[in-house]
Amino acid sequence: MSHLTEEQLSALVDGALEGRARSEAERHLESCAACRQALAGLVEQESALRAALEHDPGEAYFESFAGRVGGRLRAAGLSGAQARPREGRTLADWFRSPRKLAWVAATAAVVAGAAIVVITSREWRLPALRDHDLRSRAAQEEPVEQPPVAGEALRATPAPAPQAKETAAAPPGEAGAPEAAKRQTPSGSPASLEAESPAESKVAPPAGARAPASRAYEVRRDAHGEDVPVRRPGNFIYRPPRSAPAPAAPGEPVRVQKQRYAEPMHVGKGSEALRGGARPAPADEATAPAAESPAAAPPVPAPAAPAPVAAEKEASPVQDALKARYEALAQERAKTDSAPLRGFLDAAKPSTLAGRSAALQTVAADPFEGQSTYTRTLARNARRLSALAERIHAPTAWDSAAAEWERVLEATVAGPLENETRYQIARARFMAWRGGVSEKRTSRVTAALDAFLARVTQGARHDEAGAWLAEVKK
Amino acid sequence: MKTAPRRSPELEPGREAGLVRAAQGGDQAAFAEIVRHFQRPVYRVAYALTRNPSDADDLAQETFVRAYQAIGRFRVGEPLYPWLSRIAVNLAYSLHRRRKRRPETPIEPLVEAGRQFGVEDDPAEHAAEQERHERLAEAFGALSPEHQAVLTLRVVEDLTYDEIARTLGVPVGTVMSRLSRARTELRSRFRARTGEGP
Repeated sequence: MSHLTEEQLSALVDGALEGRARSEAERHLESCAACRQALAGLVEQESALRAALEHDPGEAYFESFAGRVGGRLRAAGLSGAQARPREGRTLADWFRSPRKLAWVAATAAVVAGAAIVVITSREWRLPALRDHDLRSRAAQEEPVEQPPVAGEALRATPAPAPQAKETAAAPPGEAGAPEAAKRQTPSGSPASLEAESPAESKVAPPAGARAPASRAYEVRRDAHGEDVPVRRPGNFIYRPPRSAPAPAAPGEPVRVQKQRYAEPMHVGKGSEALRGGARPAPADEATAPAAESPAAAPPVPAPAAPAPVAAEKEASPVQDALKARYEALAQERAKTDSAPLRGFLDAAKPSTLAGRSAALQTVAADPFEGQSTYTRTLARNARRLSALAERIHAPTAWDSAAAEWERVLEATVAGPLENETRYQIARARFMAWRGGVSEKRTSRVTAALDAFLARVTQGARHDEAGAWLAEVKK
Repeated sequence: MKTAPRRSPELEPGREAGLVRAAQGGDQAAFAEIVRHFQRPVYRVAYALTRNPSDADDLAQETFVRAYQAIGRFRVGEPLYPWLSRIAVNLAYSLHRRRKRRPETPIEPLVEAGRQFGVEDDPAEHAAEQERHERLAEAFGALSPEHQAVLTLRVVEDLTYDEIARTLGVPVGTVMSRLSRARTELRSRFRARTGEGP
């Protein structure tokens, strides 16, 4: 096996390697002095860094800390202004969040932009669509649809002369008649040509036309010889119904385009009634624009209203994910609320495992159980360092472990726990001394053993410590 | 050197949630209790990330001010400490960016060095150790803010990989690799300053 990687060494320091990876790494450590040295260096760096980054400003500092935070809050005028419980929030609260407001604004802007684009393109498409529609409808003309009056007009204009054909129109004031006349005009006649292609009428204007081709209306002479203003084919302007909408006959096909085409102006109420049977009612006309292009976008006012709803829907997956996360955290916390279970979980955490035996020791008999979290954390860390030092047989690692146990001692009150801690210090100091004798280590191990033996005057540990002291003094 | 407790005394089960709820309702006494419970670990993170008492004090206080402002959005039941340490880390990132644009020379480390000199047994030995710690702290300060944060949470706060991942909002795998890179980087920077390993 090649040397351990930096990541493996780092994970070993944290006790984060598990299973096969861990056993392989430990097997390698037993046979590789270079990796043991690298690991010991990393452990020592860790210990030194902890000391370098710690600072205690003193009890007085913390006693007044909350007061200073309160003063800062008052200075900022924040007293009580933050109360916004999550449950039962109103829509107004929802909009108070700048981020959500930004989402709503962005969504509304996109929708409004899309609506503008659609409306603009719809305006552009309209003439082409209408021409195409008109052409196809003109080709499929149905005589059934012609109104009775138009029929009269038709009968009045059978003249084969081009002028008569061109000027064929309804009687004055009769709606639908000119169109009906055109419908009945034989294909290829100037009138039908005009209907199909308004441009051609510019080239060869009809004899009866009195207005220039560019104008919206032209004047045509009807069968009675009277001039009637007629809308030009390419200049349709939608007008709302002028009279009260009449219900359309059920199943009646809507022929709005054809009806509008060349519709006479100033159509009186009487003529409305006359054409009522054949022509769809104004109500149909009003609904016609929407039916003209089914692929068109929804009406303009629609996008503004659903914007917040859309934003809410967009945010819901994120909120769901957050909710799930919070619930998972809450469950985890609930688990750790039980002290024995917490002890077990702490022991089972990868970062606190200094070895299987250490974990078992934590669960079975943790002398620090019941102490403050601070003390337990220190002790856990010290145990981890001791176990690590034992595995890699590095004196510097024992030094680090001893230093950590000394921290535990600082947080421990006198009694059995102090004796346990002092024993661990003495053991770590002795192991470090045995791994590499130096003046500093000798003085430290002597002091530690003396301190332990002064407190523990009998028992197996006393004898063990006495033997160590004798070895050091020898 | 005497160290501040790694964690404040534990809150009773449900007590933390109750305090959060009360603080959300505008109860300043409840918020003051939260401050008292978490002031030490928050200060510890603040000091590790700033390495001078004045900045640490400012950052720790600001952490609680921000927490107070945002407590209405805090989800009751979520552990409070990772949330607080996340605020502290983010504030430290901001401070780091500001300092990068407009460097300052804090005098507190020098004062600290003078104040702490001669506390322990052997002055010469203590001075040497203090010197090494200062070099190490300098090397640590030269790391990227992300590396400083991950090392602080692991080494100073002794958080697990899961807790660090939750605090920093990154996957556990990222914590593992970032820690490894941070340690390697710290070692090389320390060696560049002292010519030896720590």
